[in-house]
Amino acid sequence: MFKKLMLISSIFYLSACGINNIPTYDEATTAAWSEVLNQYKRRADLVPNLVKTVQASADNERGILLDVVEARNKATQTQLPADMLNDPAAFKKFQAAQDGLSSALSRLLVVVERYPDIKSNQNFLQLQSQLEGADNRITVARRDYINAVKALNTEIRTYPGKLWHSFLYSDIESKEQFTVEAEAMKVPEIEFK
Amino acid sequence: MLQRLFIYLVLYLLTAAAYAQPQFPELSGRVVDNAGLLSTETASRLTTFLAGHESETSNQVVVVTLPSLNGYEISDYSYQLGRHWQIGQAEKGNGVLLVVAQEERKIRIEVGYGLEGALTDALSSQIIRNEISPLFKQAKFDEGIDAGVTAILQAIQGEYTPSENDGLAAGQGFERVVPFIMFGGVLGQIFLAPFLRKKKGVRGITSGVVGVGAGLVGGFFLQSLLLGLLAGVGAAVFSYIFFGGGGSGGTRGGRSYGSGSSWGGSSSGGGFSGGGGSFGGGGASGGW
Repeated sequence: MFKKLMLISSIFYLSACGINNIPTYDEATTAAWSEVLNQYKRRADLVPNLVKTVQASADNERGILLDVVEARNKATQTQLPADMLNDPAAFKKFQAAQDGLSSALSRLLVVVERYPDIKSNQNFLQLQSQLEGADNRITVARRDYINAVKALNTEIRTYPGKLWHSFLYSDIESKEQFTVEAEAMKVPEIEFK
Repeated sequence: MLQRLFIYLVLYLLTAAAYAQPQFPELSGRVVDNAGLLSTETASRLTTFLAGHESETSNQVVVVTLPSLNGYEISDYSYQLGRHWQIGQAEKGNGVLLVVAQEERKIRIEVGYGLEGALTDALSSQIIRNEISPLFKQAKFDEGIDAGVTAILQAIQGEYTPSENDGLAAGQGFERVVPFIMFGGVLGQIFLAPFLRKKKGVRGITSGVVGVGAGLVGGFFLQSLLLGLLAGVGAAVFSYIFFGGGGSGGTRGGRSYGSGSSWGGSSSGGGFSGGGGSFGGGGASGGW
């Protein structure tokens, strides 16, 4: 009798002890990743308007504007394979394309500093705040993704998750993490004029 | 053996409590004026105003002033504060924070997921630039925050209508309790094994202890008296059915929850607490 009860309740015990953790974390990671993509898209969507607004007042900055447009096209045209979270090369490529757009945009905003009439243009101010908002959301989404992946990867690599992983979920692999973009690691150069 | 396990359980709960409390200020009300920028009069008027707005629309708007950000970016700090306090209703995410950092002279409007469409980044930025910042520059903090709150409320007015049941649906709540009942039952079994062939009274007490444990755990995680009570009773009943633990176990299990509820309840501020909303970095920052 006692043995039977042990058996029955050990089944309950399993459900309270992480048998569902890996699929749950996996779903959370996928959701967090969609949010990252979503926010990057939001930023890319702002670029054409931004370029148009700046161009109207600073047509001679064509070079940097072209850079931005090119970086945007590169970022939006990067093919995203379905399993890119398990594909380090594709992940890296995606990240590089997005970082390229980030750096082109920040260079554009530096250039704009030289044009007081753009800086006081309502349209530009609005776009700038939207761009800031998009960047901020990207930061948040990336951090949420990093935490979701951390939870999943930790679960897969520690006990008892490791056991569940090998018994039941060997199809779920640990996911790629973001790395700090090279640009952010560089110390800004100071120029004296 | 029993004692030691109970100590472990208490220690576990304590460490969990320590993790849940980072260095964010306490949510003492709808206006958390830690930098002391507002007059008592303005603070209480805003509180009433914001409470009225919430009962009308269910939007939660909170004003926070901080002496310093301690090195954090205001955008980085604000969304985490909003998540920590869970401002806004859970299903709607309709919370807004107006954050003012005195030392850094920064202002931020942090917008919950659900209101991003009404209070856009561009609009938030305009409110800071045109309403708040000019008044702050003249050190008119009462007027500035007043104008900011008014503009925020105008922007989000009517985006959401109040709905009847904002809490947990009954079925949903029960699902959340089930793991605790099972947890309690299993604990009961572990505790009971050595005593199985002994007196009935011992079993009764043991399942009572199990009820206490489940109640504490349940109350701590769910932060709700009713659900914790359910978990406590459920655990006691579970061990009773399987092991004939005696009637006293059930009552003790249920009653025990009282201590658990005060734990769960103490983490939220007096009279006002967040509704479970979340934030994803929407809004805008500015300065003065």
